Amino acid sequence: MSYTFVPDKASGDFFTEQMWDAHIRDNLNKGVIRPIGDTTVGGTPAEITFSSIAADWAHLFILIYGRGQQASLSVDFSLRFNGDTGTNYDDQVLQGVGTTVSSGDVVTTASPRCGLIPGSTAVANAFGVAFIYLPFYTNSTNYKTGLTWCGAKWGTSAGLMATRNCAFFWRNIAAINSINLRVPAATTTFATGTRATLYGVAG
Amino acid sequence: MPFTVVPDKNVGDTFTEGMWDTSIKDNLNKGVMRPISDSVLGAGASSFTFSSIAADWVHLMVCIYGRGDFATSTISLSGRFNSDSAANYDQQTLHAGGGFAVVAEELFATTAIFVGTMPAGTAAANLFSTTWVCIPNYQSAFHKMAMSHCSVKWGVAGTQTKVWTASGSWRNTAAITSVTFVPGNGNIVIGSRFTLYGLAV
Repeated sequence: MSYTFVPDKASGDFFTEQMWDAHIRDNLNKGVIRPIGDTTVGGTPAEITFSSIAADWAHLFILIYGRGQQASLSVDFSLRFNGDTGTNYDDQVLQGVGTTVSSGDVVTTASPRCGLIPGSTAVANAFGVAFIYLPFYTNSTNYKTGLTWCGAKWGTSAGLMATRNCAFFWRNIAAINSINLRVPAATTTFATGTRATLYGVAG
Repeated sequence: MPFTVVPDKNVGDTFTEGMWDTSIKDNLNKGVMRPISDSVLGAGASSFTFSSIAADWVHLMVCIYGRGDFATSTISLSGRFNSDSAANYDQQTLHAGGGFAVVAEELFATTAIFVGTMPAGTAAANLFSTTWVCIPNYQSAFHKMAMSHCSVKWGVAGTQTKVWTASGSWRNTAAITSVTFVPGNGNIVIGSRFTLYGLAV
């Protein structure tokens, strides 16, 4: 739903149901950038899933502050849509780690990379951040694509920080109605203190 | 404060204080993404600070349109939190342009987080840079992390543009209550603009 421009009113005008519905209810619920979901990982490490995403917005974005439970210094995290666990995704990464620039793609994967976070052996208190942008998620004609900007630090000596740009692709024309954020290794998850917030962007 | 879905209303419903406070006041003030502060510099300044940032949001974003006056073609712009100017920051950058291949750099124990560069004193007239900074979970009890994107142009020749991606951490567990931007040298010029946005949940 798009934003409805709020008209001027004059002294003495009645406040009507239509005014409430069109200019307050619909604009605030579906006409601006607003949070749709928010998850903070508590005492038990966990994956993060935003489900039952309504088709009310034009675009989505997710902000993540995260750390992985995997026993490594850093760990990729990925996303899946609509519960699709098949190898229907592709990704492309450009990153700087220390003074090393690298890039690479992975095609036909079930775990497209969309960010990098510290793992459980990283320096204490270190978290990574990511901004995931997902345009036209309701498109039911073409495949979906998105991009991520992220940064992570897992130590305080050379080569232990990264900034990364990711592009990811889902070979599916269905509208997206759920997003699962996960650390690919089946036995690992996001650590306590990880937070992810989903926003809807009106058109 | 979380966003509260605005309910439907029917003909004949009374407009109540509760409707105003919950659906309008709280949602607009603290429930949607909204500007917290916006400034266009009316005079050159050695730094710019967003102070007294309330704990009302979960994430922060900053949009910067900036230029410096130091006598070089470009000058760096960095951020500090809570006025901490000690060597408590780390940073990683990835940048391309200016006639160079893609370059990655990292620095540890710096006194600020690099967020981008700005055209400076010897750049062509009227040029300003664009910088976007995001600070997720700025009230976290763990160390903070910021990320940024920046584009800069300082002339009209083929190798006088650059794009940056950067991220950096602040080795501190305190909630962020102020963000200060400082140029690498000289001042930030008149006409530079800094806008801070709050994002609720």
